[in-house]
Amino acid sequence: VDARAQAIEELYAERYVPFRNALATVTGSRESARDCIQEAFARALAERQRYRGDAPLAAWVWKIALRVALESRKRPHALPLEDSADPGLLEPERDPELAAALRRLSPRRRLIVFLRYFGDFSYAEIAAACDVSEGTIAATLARAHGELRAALTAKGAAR
Amino acid sequence: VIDAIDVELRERFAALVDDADDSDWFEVRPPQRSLRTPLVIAAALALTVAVAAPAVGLPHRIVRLFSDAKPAPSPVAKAFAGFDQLTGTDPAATPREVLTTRTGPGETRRSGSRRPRAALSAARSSFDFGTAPPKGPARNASSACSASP
Repeated sequence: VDARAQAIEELYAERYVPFRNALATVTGSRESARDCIQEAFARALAERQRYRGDAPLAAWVWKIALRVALESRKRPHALPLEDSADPGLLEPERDPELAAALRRLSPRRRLIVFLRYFGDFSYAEIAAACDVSEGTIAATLARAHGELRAALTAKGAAR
Repeated sequence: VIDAIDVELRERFAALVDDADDSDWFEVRPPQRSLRTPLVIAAALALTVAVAAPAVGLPHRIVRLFSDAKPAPSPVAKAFAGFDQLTGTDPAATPREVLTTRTGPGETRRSGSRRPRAALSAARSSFDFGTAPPKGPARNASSACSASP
């Protein structure tokens, strides 16, 4: 087994559950997310020679997974990957306040929040997955934090 | 303030996380094929080629055998060509009689008094164009049917 295949297998072993949970916010169910993750890692293995190593492997595989998920939803091809996803909590009734606060975010910010808190992605991984700089991700997350804090605080005060 | 919201979000998202691990790496990576199957396929192909090649080549050899043969002598060629133009001949007649007897379209030559078996025997013995025709059918008929009264 070559080094890239070994790295992909290690990534699968370490990050499968966070990847599935983050992707489930895009696909709408854990089962479909699982199928997409399996397909994504299979594609990653098959196309591993195309991985240049200039970005974190997790980001490269995530982009494949997101593409697989959006392909299964027949997304419009004109949109960039991260802009065509409209992620949401699987069970919003379990935390309605958080679900409502998240819905106020733009889809792109919501996806970045899910990558951060469901997918355990580092700033560098999110930046590579979204093809932007780490600074942009830091700024985006800071704004998302501000919006979420405002929404959650308002809800808490109203209670 | 950011750290506080970060901590709060971590806690709230952690409460929503599904920790069930249904991963299966062997489902991702199909099992490696052993070398046995390709070897069996290669051996079967080689055997097929070995058996089929002579069968495919044989008809060509047969065709070449006939096309490369020496042409027939001129008398034979003429005689065989003449057969195509004869109609209404008697199969019991000698080849020479058939060749020398002309019959019109729709006519049938009478075979005379010779018996068919004797006539056939005479025809067989006289088919060699280099020899003289038999003197008469009676001799051949008597030799061919010596047992008959």
